[in-house]
Amino acid sequence: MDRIWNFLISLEVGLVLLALVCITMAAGSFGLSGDTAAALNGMPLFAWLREFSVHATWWLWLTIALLALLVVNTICCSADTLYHRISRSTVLAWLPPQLIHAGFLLIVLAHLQSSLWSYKSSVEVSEGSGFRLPDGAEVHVTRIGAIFTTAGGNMPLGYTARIVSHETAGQGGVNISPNHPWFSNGYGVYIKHAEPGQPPVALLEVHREPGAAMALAGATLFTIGNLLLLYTRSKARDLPLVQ
Amino acid sequence: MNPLFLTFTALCITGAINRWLLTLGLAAGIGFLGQRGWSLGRLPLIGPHDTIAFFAVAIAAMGVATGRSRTLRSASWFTAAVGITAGFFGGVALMFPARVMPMPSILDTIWFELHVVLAFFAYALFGIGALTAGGWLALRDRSLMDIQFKTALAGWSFFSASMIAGGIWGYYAWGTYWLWTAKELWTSILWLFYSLLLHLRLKGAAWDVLSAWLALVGFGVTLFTYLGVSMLMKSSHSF
Repeated sequence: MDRIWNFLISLEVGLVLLALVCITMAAGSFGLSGDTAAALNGMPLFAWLREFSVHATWWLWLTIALLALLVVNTICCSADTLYHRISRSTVLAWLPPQLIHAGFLLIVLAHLQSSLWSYKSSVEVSEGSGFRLPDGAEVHVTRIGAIFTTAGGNMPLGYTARIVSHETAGQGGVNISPNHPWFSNGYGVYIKHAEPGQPPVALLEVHREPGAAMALAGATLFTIGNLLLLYTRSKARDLPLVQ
Repeated sequence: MNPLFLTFTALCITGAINRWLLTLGLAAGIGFLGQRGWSLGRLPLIGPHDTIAFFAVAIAAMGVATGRSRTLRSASWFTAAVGITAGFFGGVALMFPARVMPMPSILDTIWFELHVVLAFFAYALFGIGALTAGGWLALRDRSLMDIQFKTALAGWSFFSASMIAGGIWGYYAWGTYWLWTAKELWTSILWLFYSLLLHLRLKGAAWDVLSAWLALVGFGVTLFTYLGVSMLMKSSHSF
């Protein structure tokens, strides 16, 4: 039993796994092109893995397997560190790396959530028409326009649309533009493109990213841990170990 | 060609023989970025000229800051290495035209600016870490590996913050904090690579040779993530 535990908390195992994830992702990145790659950003990861052949997806299967082992290694290392150090050293000595580990684990979990249950669709709408969100909510697009530079010029810098739904009808609708989507019940509506004409037409995308809140929580924990780590290491004269 | 940026590049290269010239070059570089930003009405972070120029100035800045440490204060080889590296990338930036482009709405957010600025601080620190690792391989002064670790840790922290800012930007811009593109993959590779390097320190001084070589390889991974992916692979981050 001790041998198994020592293997699970082994730093060497963690280092090898990190190296293998790097190598696998690097190998996969060179084959990431064409329709197969385009589809990867259009559907949840696990749906993509099921749809395409192992010939195209092997490196992501391998990355997921290695990451799963790295998660186990991280959890075991953190548990072992907490068990052995929590009563013997100051909070600032053991807490920062564990917060970083916790943040990393939450971010991996967030990716898992999104890989299973994210949603993306696009819809072309003309001014005055509407569409339905996946939860059945009706959305109307009352105005479509373009954003130009204040210095003039014919090239639009972005696009805008006015969205009216049951939620926003009271305030006469909301404007969406790049970096300013509209959220309703977990779905985000994004404007991607618009064309002038009679009537103007816009390309909208509807996204749901179920892991976003957990990723943000993980990022917050990670950042707190990272700042504490920088603080404690800047105070240390002899640069003690990371963990 | 902008005279301030030419001055920066020239002073960095001549700064290889004198730390004060390098510091003066850094001042010229910061002046150039300020002037360029003022004329554009935004931070100069779009296109190869502006980003490589920003990278070169960041290397000089991180090099001058790191050079203030007790170990490096009198190390002329370090000043030379920083000056030549910053000057080299300054020269590369000069090969590209300084275009005046209006900011597309999709980039017009503080999250994009934070994402890019923090990434360049990280890249520069990874570069400085590689220089100190190279110095350790030549001189075997243990305190150089301490500095290498500090720069790697600071760079990794900036890079982590950059990835978080990028994720938030992506969520508001594209509806997702993650896209499966070559750039995102190499960004993750770079982050995992430096995670590995930082954890390797736990193995102790016996592993310093491997750490030093990995710090050199790390800067290669950095350059591929920044320039290689943008120029050679299809990505949402292409110039």
